[in-house]
Amino acid sequence: MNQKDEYIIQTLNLTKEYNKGNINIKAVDAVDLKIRRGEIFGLLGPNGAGKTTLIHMLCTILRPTSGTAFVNGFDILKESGKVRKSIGIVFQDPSTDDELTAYENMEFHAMIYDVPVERENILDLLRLVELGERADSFVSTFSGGMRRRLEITRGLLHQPEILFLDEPTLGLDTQTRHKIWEYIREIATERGMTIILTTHYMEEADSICDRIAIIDGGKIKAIGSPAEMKRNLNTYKFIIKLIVNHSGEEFEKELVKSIMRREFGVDITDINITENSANEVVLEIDLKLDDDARKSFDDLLIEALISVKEALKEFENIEISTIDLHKPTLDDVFMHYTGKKLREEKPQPDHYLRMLASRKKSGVIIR
Amino acid sequence: MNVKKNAKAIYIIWRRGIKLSLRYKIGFLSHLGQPLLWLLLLGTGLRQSVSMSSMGLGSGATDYMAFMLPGIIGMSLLFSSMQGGMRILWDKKFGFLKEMMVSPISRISIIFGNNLSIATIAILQGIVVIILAPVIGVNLNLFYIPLALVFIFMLGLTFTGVGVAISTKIEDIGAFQGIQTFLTLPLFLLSSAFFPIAQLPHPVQIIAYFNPLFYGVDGLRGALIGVSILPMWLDFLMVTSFCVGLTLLSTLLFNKSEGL
Repeated sequence: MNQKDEYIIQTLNLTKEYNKGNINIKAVDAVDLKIRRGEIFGLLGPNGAGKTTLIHMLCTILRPTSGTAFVNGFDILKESGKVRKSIGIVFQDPSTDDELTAYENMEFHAMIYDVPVERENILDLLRLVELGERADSFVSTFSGGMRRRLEITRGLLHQPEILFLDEPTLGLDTQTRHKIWEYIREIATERGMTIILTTHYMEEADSICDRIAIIDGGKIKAIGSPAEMKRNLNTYKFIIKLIVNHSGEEFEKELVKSIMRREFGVDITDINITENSANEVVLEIDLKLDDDARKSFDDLLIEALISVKEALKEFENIEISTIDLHKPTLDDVFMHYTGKKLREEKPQPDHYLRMLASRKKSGVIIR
Repeated sequence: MNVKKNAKAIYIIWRRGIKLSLRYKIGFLSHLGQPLLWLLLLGTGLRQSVSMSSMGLGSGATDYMAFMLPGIIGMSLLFSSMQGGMRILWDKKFGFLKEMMVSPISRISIIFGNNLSIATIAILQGIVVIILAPVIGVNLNLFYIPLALVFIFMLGLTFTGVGVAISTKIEDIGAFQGIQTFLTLPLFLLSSAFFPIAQLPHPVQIIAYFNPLFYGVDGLRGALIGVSILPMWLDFLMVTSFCVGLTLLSTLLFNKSEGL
């Protein structure tokens, strides 16, 4: 394989099985994946989907049961040393040494990766993630977000071709999360690094990834850019909430149907009518749009809003509460390919605290 | 990976280990001071009441303090080195092990660097006791002190090896400490550190011959005060075998262990 290949990572039938008792679990199931040089690639899936296992195999710390992968042109089975030199990784769980300072953690990293230790160089990297001032503080005094930033910048120290980020913002608050996204984008654009991240946050995948792969049950279900995937899904929805003074669902249904047909010339496959807690009649209209209609959808929307409003004006008993257009989201995409909603897992904010407490309890003498 | 690269990696891991040990001044000093406390308090207390002639060690052993000194060194080595195996467990728990495992350095160098740093601290502990021996009135064979240090170093590696081997099998720190306590006490009592094993019932004595610390303490005693039950060469051979064997075992188990 050639270094200048378009694909910096290529997996071939990559599989990892675990045997627990008599049960055979395929954590990663015959994955064929190609990741382009220089892109920010997201692996999106619920916990237990196999994202971390996949990444650990690519990082050569887990051996695949079968299949292999080429990372930066090197076979993960035969050239693990070269693979390791080509990659940086930020693990899901903390991997800094609490009892060393930020600088010492960086220095240690430089040494084990055979990079010359230059204090200025290390300080520059710490400044990149706004930790310059804290270079000589012990990592044990750092917050979760600071540790994460330190780990990210440490991963850059040996100038890898590829940076793996396993759930880079898990357990961080919204503000810190946005800050981390900023760094990731900066790194990708300024250094031209390929970044592969796993996440179960839709928003994260949507806002920073060039391409994503939806992974569930160890299999890649879909792959593409977030925009492309959403576009292909074609689950546009009109949600019209009406305050109706006389009952008769069929009446509204027929009414809206006829208006939609008249105004848009679109096919309405179904109208779902429910009543919400505010005593509004909620009409959800699934729209199947052809390519032309989709292109001019935003224009159509405004026109539609006006005409629906106009049309409904004729009926005294009906009052429009709201009209919403629901464009497909990554959630819908995920739902479509996996048949389930992506739950937001509750992170454990006291992760570090618990560990520190357990450490104190055992009263180590040697350290 | 070539020898030079491995040597450098071992040095880096060793350096970090030493740094961590020296980081907490009070902890480190108490660590160094512990054997002295044992020696001063227990040794002085027992000195008058223990009759050396009843120990059956021949005419060379005249002073209990001198008898106990190598034993105390062995005991501190045992406790601190076994504990040293726990560093791997901490690194696993706190995730730093992953940082090392995913880097280009070899697993062997991680274990060697770790074990050597613990053994280095063990030597320091021994040196403190040896330096202060004349102050408490124990005269040592100056000529054999380097040999004693070799014994100390090898014993340090041996018990770090035991600690690391256990830590590859036990994930839980509490459980590790339980096993450690369970192991260290018999190892210590069957080592002739405070009394010759000849005073124990015969079946128990046989067990002592499987105890690396028994050969270690006997060798140290031979080197430092010129009294030993077994010939020095045999002690040396046995300690070397245990040291190599357990270092290899810990490396092997660590190499095989999967999952971080």
